Amino acid sequence: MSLRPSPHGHTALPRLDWLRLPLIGGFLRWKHARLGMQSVMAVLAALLVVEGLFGPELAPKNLSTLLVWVYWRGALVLGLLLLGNVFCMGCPLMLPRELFRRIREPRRTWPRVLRRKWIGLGLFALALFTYEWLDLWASPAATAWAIIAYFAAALFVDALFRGASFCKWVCPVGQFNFIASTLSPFEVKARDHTVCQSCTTKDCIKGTFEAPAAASTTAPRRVQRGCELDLFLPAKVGNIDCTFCLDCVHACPEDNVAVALRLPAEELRVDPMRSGLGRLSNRSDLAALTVVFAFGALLNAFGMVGPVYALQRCMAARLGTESDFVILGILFVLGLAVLPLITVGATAWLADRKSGQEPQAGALARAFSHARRFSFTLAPLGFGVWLAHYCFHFLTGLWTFIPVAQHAAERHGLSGLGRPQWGLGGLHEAWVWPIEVGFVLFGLIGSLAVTWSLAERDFGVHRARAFRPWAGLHLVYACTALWLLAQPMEMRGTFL
Amino acid sequence: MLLASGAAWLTGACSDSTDRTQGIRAALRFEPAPHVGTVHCTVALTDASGDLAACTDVELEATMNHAGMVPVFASAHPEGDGVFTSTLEFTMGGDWILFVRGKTDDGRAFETVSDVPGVRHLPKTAAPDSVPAPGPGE
Ligand code: SF4
Ligand code: SF4
Ligand SMILES: [Cu+2]
Repeated sequence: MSLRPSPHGHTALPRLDWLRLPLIGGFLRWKHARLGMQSVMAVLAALLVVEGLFGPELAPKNLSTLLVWVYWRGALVLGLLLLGNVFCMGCPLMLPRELFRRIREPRRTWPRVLRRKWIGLGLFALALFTYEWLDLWASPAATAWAIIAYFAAALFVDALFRGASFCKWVCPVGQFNFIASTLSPFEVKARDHTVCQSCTTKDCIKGTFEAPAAASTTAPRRVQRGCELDLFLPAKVGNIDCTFCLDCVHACPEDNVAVALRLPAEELRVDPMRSGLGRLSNRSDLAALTVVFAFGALLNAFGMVGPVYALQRCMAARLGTESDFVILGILFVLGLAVLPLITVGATAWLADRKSGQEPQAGALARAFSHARRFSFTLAPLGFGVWLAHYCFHFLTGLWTFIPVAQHAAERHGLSGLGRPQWGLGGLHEAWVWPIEVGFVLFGLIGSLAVTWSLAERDFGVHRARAFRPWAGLHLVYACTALWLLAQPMEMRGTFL
Repeated sequence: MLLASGAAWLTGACSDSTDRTQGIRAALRFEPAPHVGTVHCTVALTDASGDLAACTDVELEATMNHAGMVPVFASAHPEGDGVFTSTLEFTMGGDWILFVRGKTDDGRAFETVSDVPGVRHLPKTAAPDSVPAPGPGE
């Protein structure tokens, strides 16, 4: 079987389609499947809020902190690795707005000037910052308030603006999922493009409308949404911006939508016009989001090892401040803006010069567009580090929900689960370490492969010269990640 | 249903924040100074008037305040006059929390909480001195 990418990034792979699987396929095709998943998740979220606010103050004994920071994060990245954007698929944040929109449909469309990822990117960085600043992993109450704030923000945005404005332009978790899902093995796509060519209704994007009664003067009623994220199936490439909501599946009258197997990262190797996105090589915002996604992974891992405290103490002494906010703020600006600008900028400049282009006026602009194009090569590595870090917590704490659930039941007078078995932990760190290394290497291989493809397309015979500087950056990044992950974990309430 | 479960949770949680010390305080001393690995711990339990309190069934729980932490438990051996010794294994660097639980001489269950901040990984060569860790309220 040959794995040759088409211009649209579809490699011939064995047909495997979630929607054709027994049971699962039937469930996903059910019109209320998403609502069902969202309802379960919403009940869980409500319980987590109550437990966070009123349960034990100690984070390891509170279901809220445990389920959110150990289990949800682990399940999120593993879901993205093994399946696709499954969290968005059952996302409970969309439930309140569904209910609200039954009462009142928003009229406004998301403002044109904001139709870029800059807000989502800023909020993603802010979420990472808040996590460290408020010690969310150590505070059940703060975790509960974060959940409440998130629900409120989603409802607020989507009560004002039509479509999936919150998902597409605002939601930090969504932006994380969109970049990470470029590495997922499944994609929502048109099953047969020739069927799309002869389609006249375009329901997958417009939605399905009830045929109006003959004499009726009212506008036809929409009975099924089309894609709210502006992804038109025949021209959709890859997973970016797709929430796996399956609205298109329910809307398509030809049953021509599949959630099909594909080659992970392949969408990063091609640069066609993408529905709802345009060309990736023209999207500075998406490139910046990918860079922050990758450097955020390093920073987030850095936040829990010994050297970070030494650095923070040193900074505190030099700057004469004891403010967590200030010190962390500086670290974040350095880690998410200054360091990426310098490293990615220098790499792009070097690669551009080395690849045989004549130095000329506009070299800076060319280096910039080079950086924009190749920034996407950081996605596999970044995802590898997120996977390694979150799977470390998930696997080393694999059984910890048992005693915490037993403890919760005991507090409420239910003795059926038995006494809490506090000794239950998870896999030994020595066992998890090879898995972490594997994820980082998996990311490195992916990044190198994507870089080579882009270099080949853009620089032809000079591809190796363009490739080397980026490969160097990826190697340094991977080594830094491995060094960070090899540090013994250290947990502090405060660093001073 | 949500409201009902919420209310149930609330009432379940209220019993959680009551003072459970029964007036008992625990002073801790570590030998060697707390570090990642095995550490001997001496616990002196005093009552409200500051006198050593003869308690029974004393055990220690050491944990850290972050989700997914697996706590460490150790039983304590009575050395007479409210003094107990125990061996603890700090499994990670950082700020630890130590619970001492037991029964007072009149049979009431108590629990004290102490901080053990800044537990470090031991440099391979250094032999740490014995340093007392702060007791509760210090
Ligand atoms: S983008 Fe955000 S709000 Fe939308 S489905 Fe995904 S996680 Fe939920
Ligand atoms: S409707 Fe749009 S966002 Fe939803 S699954 Fe289809 S393509 Fe993805
Ligand atoms: Cu961590």
